[in-house]
Order: sequence, then structure tokens, then C-alpha cells
Amino acid sequence: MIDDRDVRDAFARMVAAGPPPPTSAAALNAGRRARRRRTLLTTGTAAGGVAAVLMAGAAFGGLIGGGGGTPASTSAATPAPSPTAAPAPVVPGVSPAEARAIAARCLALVKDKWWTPAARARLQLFNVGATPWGTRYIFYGPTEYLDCLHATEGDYRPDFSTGTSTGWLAGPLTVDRAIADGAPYDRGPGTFTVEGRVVPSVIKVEITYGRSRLTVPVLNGTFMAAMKITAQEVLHGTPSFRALDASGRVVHASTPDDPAHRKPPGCWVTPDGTVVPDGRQPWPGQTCLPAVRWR
Amino acid sequence: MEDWERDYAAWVDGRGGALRGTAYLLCGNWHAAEDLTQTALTKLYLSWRTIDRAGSVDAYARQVLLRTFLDERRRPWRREHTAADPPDRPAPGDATGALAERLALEAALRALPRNQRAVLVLRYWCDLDVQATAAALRISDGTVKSATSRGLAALRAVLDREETR
Repeated sequence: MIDDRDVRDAFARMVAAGPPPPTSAAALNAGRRARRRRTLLTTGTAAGGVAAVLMAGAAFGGLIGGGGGTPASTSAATPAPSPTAAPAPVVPGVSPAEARAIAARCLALVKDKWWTPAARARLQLFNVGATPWGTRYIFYGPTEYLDCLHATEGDYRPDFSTGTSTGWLAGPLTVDRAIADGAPYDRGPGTFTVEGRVVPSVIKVEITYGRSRLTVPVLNGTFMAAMKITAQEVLHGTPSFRALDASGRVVHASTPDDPAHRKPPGCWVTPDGTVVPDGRQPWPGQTCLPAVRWR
Repeated sequence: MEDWERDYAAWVDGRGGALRGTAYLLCGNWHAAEDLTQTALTKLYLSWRTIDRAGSVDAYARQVLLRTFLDERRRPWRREHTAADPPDRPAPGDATGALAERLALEAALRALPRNQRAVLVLRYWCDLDVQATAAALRISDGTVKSATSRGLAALRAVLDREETR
């Protein structure tokens, strides 16, 4: 018969065994381990109202869709995006062959049935940028999203979501991935990294997190940014976003106290009635706006 | 680096490992434990200059860790879970039998309700008595006793099963 002492000993053995040694599996998750806080949100909601978006398609698939989220009425539908609706994305300094090689290195560590050769072939590089953790490469496919961090030579770390259409946006600006992490565990500065997509009229995005503000250009309908934040902001800060067009007009503002802010609808739907994930579930009878076409 | 930061760093160097162990038992896996530990350490860092270090910093840190663990469900944001999350690999020298027991216990711990799991970790890892556990979790002594009983029954079933293999 097992007694209390056995449970204590078992706990001690579990802790003493420690984490797994550095392996490909560990490398895959290393980026996540360093993270302090991960935020998935859409800016269609108020700044404080955080909602899961694209990455949530994999993590919280039960939240939206699956037939349960179809609203009772919708506005006029927009045409479905076609794979040939927009030119292939071009990222200066990275050839398509190099992009394919980078995606392959990232996905080499991934054991997920989704990533068939066909799914991998659908990925296209849309953006690239330097962050304190390394260079981030952002790929999209019709139903795939891959964030590939090239940390050091030979060290590639993927984060991805699959199964959610990337052809539509929940409003003029959708955040696909946002993470606040950093100090003081690793005794470095905190960092807020964010990636997302915008409508074609938007040429730059202004991001505010706590007292930090950064304006980044749009590339291939996407934006990405990494900004230093304080430890206080890592825990308590909230990001806000403003999308600007070529004339400087604010197309979208996420915070309610911004004069350009427009109260978002409860939901966005594609012509076939699919709710575009933004973390909220429309209630029966709610009127949704047509989802905004991306590329 | 200021004096208080040096104090903080020294405490993390000396006691961070133990805190991480507690986080692991609460979470049932090392990845979540890292996240939890870092969040707790960040909170500790922010309050380091105001906490009463004449008292037990260990107890304070444990309390922060515990509250963070229990509060996670109520946060206004969600953690992202990568779809590709391979299981931990066995550590070097981790004999097959010990590994099987460890994995079975991890699974059993994860299957317990959060409060029940926290009760077991506080009682049998942190060596708190019923009253101290109740105070830490802000629940009654009776709830601690019943949670202990149910949680132990679940873990014992696993340990018994592994022992008879």
C-alpha cells in the first residue's frame, strides 16, 4: 500500500528528473519558454478586450465556427478572395528559394499531420524583421500561418496555426500574433512583438504599448514590430493600434478614446456565413458585418 | 545594478530552482512551469522593494506562484498553445520504469482539478500542514482535507499500478 511518504518521494523524483535535455523538441519550444506573456487579440475589440484570433484557430478551435457561431443575419456579402487576386508577395532581400528553405528548416522540427508537402508548398513569405530574439520570417498560406524565428545559426523555431482561412480580416486590421515577454527573469528588457494583416489602403501601422510607441510600414499587406517595454508593462500593459493610409488618415483605431475609433460590430462573416475568428462568439440574431477581404 | 536588484538576483539564483520545481508539480509539465515561474518572478521583482524580507521570501514567492497558477483561468488574455507540442523526452539515465512512473504521475497530476493539485503540492512538496495550506489557498481546513484525500487516492492508484507492473 502506498503511503504519504511515497507521494513525497514520487514528487521529489519527478522534480529531480528535471526538464528534458536540449533536443529538437526542446528547441521547438525554447522560444515559448522565454516568453512572459502571450497575447492574442484583434483590434476590432477595445484595447482592454483581448480576443483570440488567427493562432487561436489551432489553439481554441472550439471558440468560433464549427457551425455554432453562425449569426442569424449578415450584411451584404463580399466576393470570396481568389488565390490569384493579388500578386505574389515580394520581400526585399529574400528570394523565393531562400524563403522556401527557411520555412523548411522551421517545419523540420514540427510533427504535425497538417504540414504535408502540399501545405508547405502553399506557404509564401510576406514579411521579415529583426527582433531581440533573432530574425522573424512571417509566412502565410490560404489556411496556414507560420512565424519562423531564426534565433542563431542553425536554430529555427516555429510557431504556427492551421485550418483557418487567411483570406479574410475581422476589420481593417487584424493582429495574428502578439507577445509581451522579457525581464526580469532573464534580466533583459521586456519586448512586445506583434504581427498582423491590414487592408490594402493601409500603408503603416502605429503601435502603442504602455509608454512605447512605434510606427512600422506595411509590407505585402502585413506588418510586424518588436518594441522594448518595461517589466511593469509586460504584466500590465495593453497594446493599441492605429492603421494609417497614404494620406495619413486613420483607417482604424483600436482604443475607444481615440477620435478615429469606431465601435466594432459583434462579428465579421465571410459570404458563406463563416465567422472570421476574432475571439468572440456572435449571439443568435446578431448582425455581422461582411468580413474584409485580405489580398 | 542597484543593491536591491543584486539581492533579488541572489535570491533567484539560490531559490529559483525550488520555485520552478513547485511550478512543475502544479502545472504537470516543464514548459508551462517555465511560464508560470517567470510570471511569478516578474511579480516578485516588481514588489521586491516593498515586501517584508525579514519574513520568509520563500513563502511570499510561493504564494505569488500559487496565486498566479490559480488565477490563470481568470486572466483577460489567453495563452497560445502551439499545435506542435512534442512530449518531453526522457532525461539521460532515466530508467524506463522510473520514466513510466513519472509520466503516469504527470498525467495523473494534470488530470486533477487545479485546487486539488495545489493542495497536494503544498502538503507533500512544500510540507505545509492543513492550516497553512488552507490559508495559502484561502479555503477551509475541511476542504483541504477532502481535496487531499481525493487527490491522494488518484495518485495512489497510479503509483500502485506502476508498482505492480
